[in-house]
Amino acid sequence: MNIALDHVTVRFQDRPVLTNVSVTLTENRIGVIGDNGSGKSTFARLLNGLLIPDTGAVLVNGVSTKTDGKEVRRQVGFLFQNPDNQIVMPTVAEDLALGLKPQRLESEDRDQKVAKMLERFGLSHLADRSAHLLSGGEKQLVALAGVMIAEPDIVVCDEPTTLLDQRNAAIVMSVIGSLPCPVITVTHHVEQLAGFDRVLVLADGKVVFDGNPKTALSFYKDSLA
Amino acid sequence: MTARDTVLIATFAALTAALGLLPPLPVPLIAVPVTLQTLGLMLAGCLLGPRRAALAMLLLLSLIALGLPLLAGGRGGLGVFIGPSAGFLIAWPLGALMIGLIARKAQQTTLMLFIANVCGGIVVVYAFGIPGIAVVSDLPITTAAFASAAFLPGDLVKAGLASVIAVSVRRAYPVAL
Amino acid sequence: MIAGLYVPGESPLHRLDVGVKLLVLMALGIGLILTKSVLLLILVVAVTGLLFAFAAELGLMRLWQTTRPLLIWFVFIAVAQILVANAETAGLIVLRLAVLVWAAALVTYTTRLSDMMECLIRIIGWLSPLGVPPHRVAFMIALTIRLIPALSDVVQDVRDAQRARGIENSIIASVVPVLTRVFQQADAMSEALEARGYERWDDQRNNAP
Repeated sequence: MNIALDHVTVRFQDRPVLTNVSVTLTENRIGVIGDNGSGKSTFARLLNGLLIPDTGAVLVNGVSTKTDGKEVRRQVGFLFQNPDNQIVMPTVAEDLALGLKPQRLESEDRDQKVAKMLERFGLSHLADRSAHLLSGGEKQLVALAGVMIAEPDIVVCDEPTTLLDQRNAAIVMSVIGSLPCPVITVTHHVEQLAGFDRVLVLADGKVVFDGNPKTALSFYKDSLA
Repeated sequence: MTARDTVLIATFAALTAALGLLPPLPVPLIAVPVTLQTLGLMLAGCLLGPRRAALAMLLLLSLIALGLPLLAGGRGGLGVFIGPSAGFLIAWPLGALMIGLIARKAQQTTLMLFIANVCGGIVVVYAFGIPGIAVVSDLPITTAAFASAAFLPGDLVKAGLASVIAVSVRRAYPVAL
Repeated sequence: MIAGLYVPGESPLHRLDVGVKLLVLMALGIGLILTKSVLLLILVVAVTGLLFAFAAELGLMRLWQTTRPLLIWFVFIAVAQILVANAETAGLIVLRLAVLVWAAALVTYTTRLSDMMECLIRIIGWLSPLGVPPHRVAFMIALTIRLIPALSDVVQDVRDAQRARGIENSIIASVVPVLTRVFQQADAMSEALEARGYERWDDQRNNAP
């Protein structure tokens, strides 16, 4: 993985949300932490081209999000905070199948891949369940399975556990931790930092810390004091 | 069609269906129960613009035809497109289109949107609904019109409600028409 | 998830191809408009009723439930027709309407939603030269089915809140924030849809990974 942000600035109605951010992300597990309004959701959306910087550029494995957002979004899967907005089909299996739609598979191949992915996430028993009736934790796992079935090279998670209780948050984080590809997780739960290879701390639209989780934690705690 | 168009069309089709699940409003003075479903039609027209609003209604009608009980009172299936109210139903997409066209051109005031809702949600819908009754029941159009007049007060109330709601929503959440 | 009107069963009518059922329904509609014989109509009513209640095993109760919402119309039509024409015409029209509604309901009750959907998508397929992509229509139908329970909850919440406050006429005050939320959710969902490859659905197979 190589994601390069080059002098990136993003404004919302003249208010800067991110200011002149330059980082290169190559590590396998990266955490991005910061308070509400620090720009971390904006940061996440830059990584798959859902948001295009006003100035500067974002290159994902050499592909610019500005000129080829479509290709970037094929490479970068995105898990949102609220799975209710991410699950768009009536049942769990149908929703996973949607992630395969661009591949135009024969229906047997598609069903087989869906079944395999459901099994991998321990969701097989929910295959024909109405997505509306799942618990919050189940929904987030279904959303993540829907991301993974498209076989992304990189996964970005934007506060994936904010709406979950502690037990479900731990389950989802452990599943995210076991993904076979590089993962960038945006969060404001400091206790989730431990497993990461690198942590960025955002404040007021700037990267104010960049380093290992242990130092990041003490830095973040000091900044709260 | 963008992802946003797709989602907004489906959302308003679903919202209009959901409004049909509410029990009908009792309106004083008249005996006819007023369902809130055409409120969905009017809101779609005022808030989504002509094309998306019309497609939202078309989508809802398709779901009903497929066999989902999404009309007020839990009715649905192919039968509702044969009964006396068929003309009213078929007019929904056109009514929404008309509201959307007027709402886009006019100023976003309560009065203008009320006029739009009356034109699209009442005039257009009745223009198909009344001949629909006349054809299905083989009666003179005047008799059919007389039978439909009972729904007029309720529909006028809804046109007013939809206009006030739409103006406030557009102020709180501007969307491109 | 919302349940369709389909009534599970193994009857010959359930097994009949949906395309055949729809064609028969259309033919019946045209045939009934042309007929002027009350006697023939009574026969057709009887046959349709028997097919509905017994052959398709839907029962007399469901036949009654199908007819009930139309009773007020039947009364209106009958009275008006007797006034402008005669009792025979009144009978003709009411019976014709009843048969058509029963037959249409019969198709709906005996056909799975998925089979109906397949049929609709096939019909839309004929329109694809006009630029209507069937798979997108299928997606929108599925998305709407997904959204109905969520929006029903929202609508129900508003009603409960109103009841709790005991003010029935504050519809406007409670609907406006709800609609704002609905729009916000729609925006979040379209963002997610884009992240999930919406723009690549129409790509050619060889462009896919």
